[in-house]
Amino acid sequence: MEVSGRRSRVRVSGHDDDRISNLSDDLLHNILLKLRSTTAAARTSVLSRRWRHLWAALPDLLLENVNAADSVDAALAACSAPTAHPPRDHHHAPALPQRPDHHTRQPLAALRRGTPPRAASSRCACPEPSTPTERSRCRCSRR
Amino acid sequence: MAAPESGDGNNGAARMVTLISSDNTRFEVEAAAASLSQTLQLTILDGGGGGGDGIPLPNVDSATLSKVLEYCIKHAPAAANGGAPNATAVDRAELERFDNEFVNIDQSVLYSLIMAAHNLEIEGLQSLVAKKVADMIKGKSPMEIRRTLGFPDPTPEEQAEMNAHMLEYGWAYE
Repeated sequence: MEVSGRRSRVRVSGHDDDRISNLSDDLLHNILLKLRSTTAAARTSVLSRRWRHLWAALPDLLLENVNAADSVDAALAACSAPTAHPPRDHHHAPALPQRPDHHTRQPLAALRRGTPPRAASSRCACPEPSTPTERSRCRCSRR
Repeated sequence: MAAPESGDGNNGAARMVTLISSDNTRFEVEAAAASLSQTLQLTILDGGGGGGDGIPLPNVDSATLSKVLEYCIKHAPAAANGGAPNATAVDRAELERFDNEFVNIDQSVLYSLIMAAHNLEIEGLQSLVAKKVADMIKGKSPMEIRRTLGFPDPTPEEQAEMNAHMLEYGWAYE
C-alpha cells in the first residue's frame, strides 16, 4: 500500500518564533497531561503569560516527590485559585473537586476518550497524607 | 478473474478512498487506514471518498497529510485487529520503533501534525505527538524549555517576571 500523490516539499519555514504557544488550550493541555506530573506541568507556568494558568486546568493532580505538606497546600492553592485565595489549611485534597470551574475543564475531559466526564465528587479518594518520602498521589477530581 | 493481490484483505482488493489536501493534492489510501481518523470514518462508512470523488481536507496541507497517512498506514493493521490480540511482541516493538522515528522531525512539522491529528481526531497520533512535546519539556529548566521550544529570549521585564514567578512556585521546584 502506498500513498500516491505528489509531495509538496515546499513549506512555509518557521520563523514564527514559539509556534507552540499558538496552539489552543486543549492541545497544550494534552501536552501537559503527557508530563504525567503536576509539578512538572506547574513549572511550565513560568514560561510566559500564555502558559501561566494552563496547568491549573488539568483534570488530575499528580504530585510526585513533594516533600512537605506545605508544598501540597501550595500546589492546591495555586491550582485551585490562580485568582488569589489564601492557601487552604488542610493537607488533604477535597478542596480541589469543589472548585467552581469544572465546566471550564469539561472540554479537556472530553478529549480523553473512554473516560467520559463525570460529575465531580466532593470526596477525595487519596490515601492518608503521605510520609515525606512517599509519593503522594492525588487523583480526586474525575476518576 | 484473479483478484488483485492485496495482502490479507478478505474480499480481494482493499477499498481505496481519496483525500484532497488544502493545496489540492490527491492522496489515494486504503479506507482502513483513513478510518483511523474518527472525523473521516463516518464519511467513509457512508461510502464517501470513493470513485472520482475525494474528501476535501481544507485544514491539512499536503506535506502534513502525507505524514499523517504514513502513520495511518503503519498503524491500520494493528487497529483492525482491535489493537492487540494477534499482535506479537515483535509487532509492537516494530510499531514503537516506527513511532519513535516518526516524531523525530522538525518542530514546525510537529506542530502541524498536532493540529492535523486533532482536526482529524486520530487518537494514537494525538497521543504520540503530545508525548513528543512533553518529552522535549521534561527535566529541563524554564530557560532550557524556552530555548528548546523556540521562544524568543525574554526581555529584562519578562525575566524579572519569571524570577518572581519561580519564587512563588517554589513548591514545584523542590
